[in-house]
This record gives sequence, structure tokens and C-alpha cells, in this order.
Amino acid sequence: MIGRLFYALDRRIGWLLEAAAFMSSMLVVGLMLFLVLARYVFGWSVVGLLELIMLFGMWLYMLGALIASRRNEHLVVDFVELQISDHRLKLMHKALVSLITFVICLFFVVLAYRMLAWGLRRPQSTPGMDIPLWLPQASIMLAAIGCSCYSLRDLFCSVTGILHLGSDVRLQKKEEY
Amino acid sequence: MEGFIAIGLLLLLMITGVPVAWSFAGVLAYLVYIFDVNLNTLMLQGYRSVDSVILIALPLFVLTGYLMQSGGIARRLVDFIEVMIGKRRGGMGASMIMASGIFGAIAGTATAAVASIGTIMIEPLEKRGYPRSYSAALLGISSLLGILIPPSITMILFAVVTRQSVAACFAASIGPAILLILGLIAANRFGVGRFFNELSSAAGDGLEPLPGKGRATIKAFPALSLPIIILGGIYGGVFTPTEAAAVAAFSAMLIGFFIYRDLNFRSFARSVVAAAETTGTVILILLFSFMIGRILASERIPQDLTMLVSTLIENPLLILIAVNMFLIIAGMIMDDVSVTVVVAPLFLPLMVDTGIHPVHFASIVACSVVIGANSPPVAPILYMACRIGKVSIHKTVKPALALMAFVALPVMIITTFVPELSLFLPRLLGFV
Repeated sequence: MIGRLFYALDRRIGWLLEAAAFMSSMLVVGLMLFLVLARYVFGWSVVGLLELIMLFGMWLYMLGALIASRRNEHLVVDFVELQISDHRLKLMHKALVSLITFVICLFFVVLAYRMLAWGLRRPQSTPGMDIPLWLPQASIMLAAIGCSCYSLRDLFCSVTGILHLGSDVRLQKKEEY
Repeated sequence: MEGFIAIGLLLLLMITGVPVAWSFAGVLAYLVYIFDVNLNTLMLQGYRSVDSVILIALPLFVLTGYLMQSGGIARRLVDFIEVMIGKRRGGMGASMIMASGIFGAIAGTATAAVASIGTIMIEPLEKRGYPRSYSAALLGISSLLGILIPPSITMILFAVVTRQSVAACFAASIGPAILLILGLIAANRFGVGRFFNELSSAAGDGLEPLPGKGRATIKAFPALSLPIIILGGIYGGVFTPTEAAAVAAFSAMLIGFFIYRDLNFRSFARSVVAAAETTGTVILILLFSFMIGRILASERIPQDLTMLVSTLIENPLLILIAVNMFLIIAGMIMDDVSVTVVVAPLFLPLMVDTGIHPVHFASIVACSVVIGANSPPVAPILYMACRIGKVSIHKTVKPALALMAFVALPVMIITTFVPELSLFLPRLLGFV
């Protein structure tokens, strides 16, 4: 029941993340093209447009990182993982990696929080369009929290996998007995 | 000492299987602890480094690569090149090399080239007598032309982390890229008939018949116009590299939707999300590496490294050889992004001290990435080529090592010891 709830929630969040990344990407391409057209075709100099592009760019980066965490698609040197053939060892290796990742992600959360808190105490904005800096910085905070949650999910999945494997073996031995 | 421990920790975390981005964050945590860094402003510095207009070119070129794949642009390019040179001796292998080169001139990534060109060409190559292991090795190394031929994402990263001109770095790697293309074509031609026989295309080989020369050219014209728009735009002073990336992505979109009509909304959306994901993984590495770089710079570690190496080795030639060897070894155990964003800035002061121009160093780093990305144990591109070629890595390692030893390594040596190869074009264009 809880598993199904989490699955449905994960799908919804995944859809939202992908939709937001799609929108950010389209805005970056569209605004950048508009910048070129404005300069060469209309002869306009649109002040601050680059700031808007950077805002959507930052959200695009961080949403992309979050999607990669959700799908476990972050760049990995999988040399050790490929050498492990035993399923139990594989799960234990995954649990160890997830635990290390989770601890490191918490450090990322602390860094992002300190940046955001510092920025809110001394509010800054972009010179052209007066965009508050916390807007793009919030994307880093979201990525930090999201990545921590996904690494916790991976840790939970691998630990339960090990436990299930143990109970399966016990059940098998019992049946054999 | 702390610098070496940091690199050791990075390698340990990576080899353990911790994602590369989080391995960098782990090293950052270690450096923060050792040097008692102010956490309030550390992330702000990282944010400011990533908040760069030049870096926006990264997601846009990655998106272009994905759109080329899903929009049928890669298919038309391969058909065109196959029709033009496929019938000559070693022509099929040469087609793969040339297709990867042109793909690189549009998208600038090796992974997209491996996926696109490999999916299209491995099967026909096998039907023409090329062993799968050899095809996968050739695919792995030729796809890395995307790193040397502008617009190259590796060069964009190098330019950002070392504060060099992107256009100059782009121009610097063109010479080595041409040399690598020629070397690969020559090696392939040498191998045909000696190690395997190339069969002539015949009816009934199960392959889709290729269009005629004229038809293939007309079909490939929109795809072939892309590199002209991008490179002509950048070097003609019309666009900045970032604007060129946006124009390239938009053009790929138009071509895929309205000219080739291979793109639909679903495949388009998938490509956009995949591009965002790829960019996100790279940017996170970059964000942490910028912060690591700041700490190392404030502790004067690159300068200490320069002093240490200069006192140990006095001969500039030996320093160059040592740095080259270090770059290759780093490439064997790290991915291409990590080598570019960590090792390059660490060694740049030493290189400048030795009399190497930073732009020349950019092309040396790019050449080392070509070798590293195909060298086990990490070899991300070679592994990917094997997956696409459906062949085991054990069979592929031998031809891959042969291609690297006889082509990629000599290209790297020539690039290192003949600076003009890298500096001629940037000088001609007035960047250096």
C-alpha cells in the first residue's frame, strides 16, 4: 500500500520535473534566438534578457541534475560494480554507495542552505531586470534536497533488497528442511 | 600534500562507484574541513562560476546532438558519406570516421555520436565484413572527434575553467582533429585486407539500398548546412558560441520536424529531457569542481605543484612528457569531464611556466581525453560503443588499443611537441 503510494508520488514528481525541464529548455532556446533576432533583424538591444536566460538556464541545470538522480543516471565509474557477480554483494555495494551519496548530499544541502540564507539576509538582484538572486539560487536548494531524497530512496531500496534476500534464503532453507 | 590527498580521495570515491558529481562533492567536504572554509560564501562562489553565459552553450549543443539523433539528421549524414566514399577500399570504415567528424562539427559530444552513428553503421559494417569488435573500437575512437572538432563541449568546459576564449580553444583543436581523421582513415585502410576482408555491397545482403549520389546530397543538404551555419557564424563574428548553439538547436528542431519529418512531439520531448539530464550531470560536476578549484587556488596548491615539478624536473620537454603521461593515466581512471575541469586547471600554471600557451594546452588536454575515454578500466566511450555494437569489451580492447597506440597517441605527441598545429589557426583568426 505504502509502496504503491510512493510509486504514484514518484511518477507525479517525475512528470512535473520533466515538464519543468522541458519548459526551461524551450525558454532558454527561445529567448536566446530572440536575442539574436533582436540584434540582427530589428537592431534592438534588449537589456537584461541574458539575465532571464541565465535564470531559466540555472533551473534547467538543476532540474536536469534532479532528473538524473531520480533515474540513477548520474555519471558513474562502474568498474567495481561490473566485477561483482553475487546478487547479495551487489546490493551491499549499492547500499554502501547510496549511504556515502546520501551523506555527501546532506553536505550539499547545508551548502545550498547557507548560500540561500546568506542571500536572503543581504538581498541582491540582477542589474538589468532586477531579478532577485534567490530565484535562480532556489533551484540549487531544490536540487540538493531532491538529490538527498533520491539517495535515501536508493539506500532504502538496497537495504530492503538485502533483507528480502535474507528472508528468501531463510524461507528456502526452511522449505528444504 | 592536501592536493594529492584530495585527488586520491576523488579516485577512491569514483572507483567505489559513487557518482562522479558526488565524488567531487565529497572531496569538497574534505577540503572544507581541512582548510576551515567559510560556508556562507563558498556555494555563492560556485553559483557565480556556473552562472555563465558561455556555459549556456552546453545544454544547447547537447540538445542539438539528441535532436540530430531523433530527427533523422544523423541518418542522412551517414547515407551521404556512405554514398560518397563507401565503395572505396576501406570506405565503410572511413564513412564511419567522416560521419563522426561531421556529427562532431554540429553537436560537440562523443556520447551522442556513439549512439547515433553506431546504431546506424555497426550492422552494415558487419555485413561488409568488418568484425564487430573492430567496428566498436573504431566507433569509440572516431566518435571522440566530437571533442576535437568545434563546437566541442570539452573545449567549452576547458575555456570556462581556465578563463580562455572559447573560440580560440575551438580553433586550437581543429589541427589535431584533422590529423586524427587522416590517421584513422589510413589505419583503417591498412587493416582492410590484412586483418579482415571488406566485402563489396551486393543485392541480398539484407541492407536497405542507398540512394544515388545526387539524391543523397539533396537529402543531406540541410544536415550539411548546420556545421556551416555554426562554425561560419562563430568565426564570421555573427554569433557568440552560445548564440550559435541556440541557432543549431533551433535549426535541428526545424529540420527534424519539417524537412525530414522524423521528429514528433513525443520524441522531441524525450530528447529535450534527455539533454537536460545530461547537462545536469555535467553541471553538478562543474559546480563542485569550481568550488574545489577556488579552495585549491586560495591555498596556492597549483603554484606549489608547479614549484614541486619544476624543482624535480628541469627539462621542459620532460615536464611535457610527464604531464602528458599524467593526463593519459588520469583519463584512464576518470571521465572526460573530470579530467578537463580538475586536472587541466591544476596543471595550467605549470604549463604556462614551461612556456606552453594555454590554448595549446587545451588541445593537448582534448587529445588526452580521446585516449583516456577509450582506455580501460573506465573507458566510458569504449564501453558505450561495445553496448551499441553488442560485443564484449574483452574482444574490443585489442583493436581499440591498437588504434590508440598507432593513431591517437602519435596525434597527441605531435600536438604536444608541434605547437603550431594548435596555434596556427587561433593566430590566423587573431585570437592569440
